[in-house]
Amino acid sequence: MDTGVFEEVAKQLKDNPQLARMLMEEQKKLEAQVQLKTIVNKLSVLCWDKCVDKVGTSLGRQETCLANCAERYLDVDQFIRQRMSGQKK
Amino acid sequence: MDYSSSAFSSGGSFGSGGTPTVNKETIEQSLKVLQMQAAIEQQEFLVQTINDKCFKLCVQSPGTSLDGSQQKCLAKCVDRYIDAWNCVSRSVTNKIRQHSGMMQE
Repeated sequence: MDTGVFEEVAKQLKDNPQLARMLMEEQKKLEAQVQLKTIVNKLSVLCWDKCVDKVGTSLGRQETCLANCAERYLDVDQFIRQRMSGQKK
Repeated sequence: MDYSSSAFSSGGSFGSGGTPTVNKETIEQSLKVLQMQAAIEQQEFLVQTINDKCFKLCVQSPGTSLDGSQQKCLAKCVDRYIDAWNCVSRSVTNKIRQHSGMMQE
Protein backbone atom coordinates (compact mmCIF):
# COMPACT_ATOMS: atom_id res chain seq x y z
CA MET A 1 0.00 0.00 0.00
CA ASP A 2 1.36 3.41 -0.98
CA THR A 3 1.20 5.49 2.19
CA GLY A 4 2.40 8.64 0.36
CA VAL A 5 -0.70 8.63 -1.82
CA PHE A 6 -2.91 7.95 1.16
CA GLU A 7 -1.51 10.86 3.13
CA GLU A 8 -1.81 13.24 0.21
CA VAL A 9 -5.43 12.22 -0.35
CA ALA A 10 -6.22 12.58 3.36
CA LYS A 11 -4.66 16.04 3.38
CA GLN A 12 -6.76 17.22 0.45
CA LEU A 13 -9.91 15.83 1.99
CA LYS A 14 -9.15 17.66 5.22
CA ASP A 15 -8.93 20.91 3.30
CA ASN A 16 -12.19 20.24 1.52
CA PRO A 17 -14.95 19.10 3.90
CA GLN A 18 -17.63 19.12 1.20
CA LEU A 19 -15.68 16.58 -0.85
CA ALA A 20 -14.99 14.57 2.26
CA ARG A 21 -18.71 14.47 2.99
CA MET A 22 -19.48 13.38 -0.55
CA LEU A 23 -16.90 10.60 -0.35
CA MET A 24 -18.30 9.41 2.96
CA GLU A 25 -21.87 9.38 1.65
CA GLU A 26 -20.89 7.45 -1.45
CA GLN A 27 -18.86 4.98 0.61
CA LYS A 28 -21.86 4.46 2.91
CA LYS A 29 -24.05 3.78 -0.12
CA LEU A 30 -21.54 1.28 -1.44
CA GLU A 31 -21.29 -0.42 1.94
CA ALA A 32 -25.08 -0.66 2.12
CA GLN A 33 -25.12 -2.30 -1.31
CA VAL A 34 -22.48 -4.79 -0.25
CA GLN A 35 -24.33 -5.53 2.99
CA LEU A 36 -27.53 -6.15 1.05
CA LYS A 37 -25.77 -8.51 -1.35
CA THR A 38 -24.22 -10.36 1.59
CA ILE A 39 -27.62 -10.96 3.17
CA VAL A 40 -29.18 -12.01 -0.11
CA ASN A 41 -26.28 -14.38 -0.78
CA LYS A 42 -26.64 -15.97 2.63
CA LEU A 43 -30.42 -16.27 2.44
CA SER A 44 -30.30 -17.65 -1.06
CA VAL A 45 -28.14 -20.51 0.13
CA LEU A 46 -30.30 -21.14 3.19
CA CYS A 47 -33.60 -20.97 1.35
CA TRP A 48 -32.41 -22.94 -1.66
CA ASP A 49 -31.55 -25.78 0.72
CA LYS A 50 -34.98 -25.52 2.32
CA CYS A 51 -37.08 -25.11 -0.78
CA VAL A 52 -35.45 -26.67 -3.79
CA ASP A 53 -35.06 -30.41 -3.95
CA LYS A 54 -35.22 -30.67 -7.75
CA VAL A 55 -34.98 -28.29 -10.68
CA GLY A 56 -37.42 -27.82 -13.53
CA THR A 57 -37.91 -25.30 -16.29
CA SER A 58 -39.12 -22.70 -13.80
CA LEU A 59 -39.37 -22.29 -10.01
CA GLY A 60 -43.13 -22.75 -9.77
CA ARG A 61 -44.27 -23.30 -6.20
CA GLN A 62 -40.69 -23.12 -4.98
CA GLU A 63 -40.85 -19.37 -5.54
CA THR A 64 -43.43 -18.95 -2.79
CA CYS A 65 -41.33 -21.06 -0.45
CA LEU A 66 -38.23 -18.99 -1.21
CA ALA A 67 -40.02 -15.68 -0.64
CA ASN A 68 -41.57 -16.90 2.62
CA CYS A 69 -38.25 -18.29 3.74
CA ALA A 70 -36.43 -14.99 3.23
CA GLU A 71 -39.14 -12.91 4.90
CA ARG A 72 -39.51 -15.23 7.87
CA TYR A 73 -35.76 -15.28 8.39
CA LEU A 74 -35.79 -11.50 8.66
CA ASP A 75 -38.76 -11.71 11.05
CA VAL A 76 -36.72 -14.09 13.18
CA ASP A 77 -33.82 -11.65 13.13
CA GLN A 78 -36.02 -8.83 14.38
CA PHE A 79 -37.65 -11.08 16.97
CA ILE A 80 -34.34 -12.16 18.39
CA ARG A 81 -32.97 -8.63 18.55
CA GLN A 82 -36.04 -7.38 20.37
CA ARG A 83 -36.00 -10.23 22.81
CA MET A 84 -32.33 -9.90 23.54
CA SER A 85 -32.50 -6.15 24.01
CA GLY A 86 -35.25 -6.70 26.56
CA GLN A 87 -33.09 -9.15 28.43
CA LYS A 88 -29.80 -7.24 28.84
CA LYS A 89 -28.40 -8.07 32.25
CA MET B 1 -8.81 -5.36 2.65
CA ASP B 2 -8.47 -1.72 1.75
CA TYR B 3 -9.08 -1.10 -1.90
CA SER B 4 -9.75 2.60 -1.73
CA SER B 5 -6.19 3.90 -1.54
CA SER B 6 -5.15 1.70 -4.44
CA ALA B 7 -8.10 3.13 -6.36
CA PHE B 8 -6.66 6.61 -5.94
CA SER B 9 -3.31 5.21 -7.04
CA SER B 10 -4.62 3.81 -10.28
CA GLY B 11 -3.30 5.67 -13.28
CA GLY B 12 -6.53 7.27 -14.39
CA SER B 13 -7.15 9.20 -11.19
CA PHE B 14 -4.23 11.53 -11.49
CA GLY B 15 -3.00 14.39 -13.52
CA SER B 16 0.49 14.06 -14.89
CA GLY B 17 3.38 13.89 -12.43
CA GLY B 18 1.72 11.31 -10.20
CA THR B 19 0.40 13.64 -7.47
CA PRO B 20 -3.09 12.57 -6.52
CA THR B 21 -5.83 15.10 -7.26
CA VAL B 22 -8.90 14.73 -5.11
CA ASN B 23 -11.98 16.16 -6.77
CA LYS B 24 -15.46 15.04 -7.70
CA GLU B 25 -14.26 13.24 -10.83
CA THR B 26 -11.44 11.30 -9.21
CA ILE B 27 -13.70 10.34 -6.32
CA GLU B 28 -16.34 9.04 -8.71
CA GLN B 29 -13.68 7.16 -10.62
CA SER B 30 -12.38 5.56 -7.46
CA LEU B 31 -15.88 4.55 -6.46
CA LYS B 32 -16.36 2.91 -9.85
CA VAL B 33 -13.20 0.87 -9.24
CA LEU B 34 -14.56 -0.24 -5.87
CA GLN B 35 -17.90 -1.13 -7.42
CA MET B 36 -16.21 -3.18 -10.10
CA GLN B 37 -14.17 -5.06 -7.54
CA ALA B 38 -17.30 -5.77 -5.52
CA ALA B 39 -19.05 -7.03 -8.65
CA ILE B 40 -16.16 -9.37 -9.46
CA GLU B 41 -16.20 -10.79 -5.93
CA GLN B 42 -19.97 -11.23 -6.10
CA GLN B 43 -19.73 -13.09 -9.38
CA GLU B 44 -17.04 -15.40 -8.01
CA PHE B 45 -19.11 -16.13 -4.92
CA LEU B 46 -22.12 -17.01 -7.05
CA VAL B 47 -20.11 -19.30 -9.29
CA GLN B 48 -18.77 -21.24 -6.31
CA THR B 49 -22.14 -21.45 -4.62
CA ILE B 50 -23.94 -22.59 -7.76
CA ASN B 51 -21.19 -25.10 -8.41
CA ASP B 52 -21.68 -26.62 -4.96
CA LYS B 53 -25.47 -26.66 -5.06
CA CYS B 54 -25.80 -27.96 -8.58
CA PHE B 55 -23.14 -30.59 -8.23
CA LYS B 56 -25.00 -31.88 -5.22
CA LEU B 57 -28.31 -31.86 -7.04
CA CYS B 58 -27.31 -33.11 -10.45
CA VAL B 59 -24.29 -35.31 -10.09
CA GLN B 60 -25.28 -37.91 -7.62
CA SER B 61 -23.19 -40.72 -9.03
CA PRO B 62 -20.08 -39.28 -10.66
CA GLY B 63 -19.02 -41.24 -13.73
CA THR B 64 -16.10 -40.81 -16.07
CA SER B 65 -17.71 -37.77 -17.68
CA LEU B 66 -20.84 -35.62 -17.36
CA ASP B 67 -23.58 -37.36 -19.29
CA GLY B 68 -26.40 -35.68 -21.20
CA SER B 69 -28.97 -35.77 -18.44
CA GLN B 70 -26.51 -34.41 -15.92
CA GLN B 71 -25.68 -31.54 -18.26
CA LYS B 72 -29.37 -30.77 -18.78
CA CYS B 73 -29.90 -30.78 -15.05
CA LEU B 74 -26.92 -28.50 -14.51
CA ALA B 75 -28.18 -26.02 -17.09
CA LYS B 76 -31.59 -25.87 -15.41
CA CYS B 77 -30.00 -25.69 -12.00
CA VAL B 78 -27.90 -22.64 -12.86
CA ASP B 79 -30.93 -20.82 -14.23
CA ARG B 80 -33.10 -21.80 -11.24
CA TYR B 81 -30.49 -20.71 -8.73
CA ILE B 82 -30.30 -17.30 -10.35
CA ASP B 83 -34.12 -17.15 -10.29
CA ALA B 84 -34.00 -18.07 -6.62
CA TRP B 85 -31.40 -15.39 -5.92
CA ASN B 86 -33.55 -12.77 -7.62
CA CYS B 87 -36.61 -13.92 -5.70
CA VAL B 88 -34.78 -13.68 -2.38
CA SER B 89 -33.37 -10.30 -3.38
CA ARG B 90 -36.86 -8.94 -4.10
CA SER B 91 -38.20 -10.26 -0.81
CA VAL B 92 -35.34 -8.77 1.20
CA THR B 93 -35.58 -5.40 -0.56
CA ASN B 94 -39.33 -5.21 -0.01
CA LYS B 95 -38.96 -6.19 3.62
CA ILE B 96 -36.34 -3.53 4.22
CA ARG B 97 -38.50 -0.96 2.46
CA GLN B 98 -41.48 -1.88 4.65
CA HIS B 99 -39.40 -1.72 7.78
CA SER B 100 -37.84 1.64 7.02
CA GLY B 101 -41.25 2.96 6.03
CA MET B 102 -42.52 2.06 9.49
CA MET B 103 -39.54 3.65 11.16
CA GLN B 104 -40.20 6.97 9.48
CA GLU B 105 -43.44 7.62 11.31
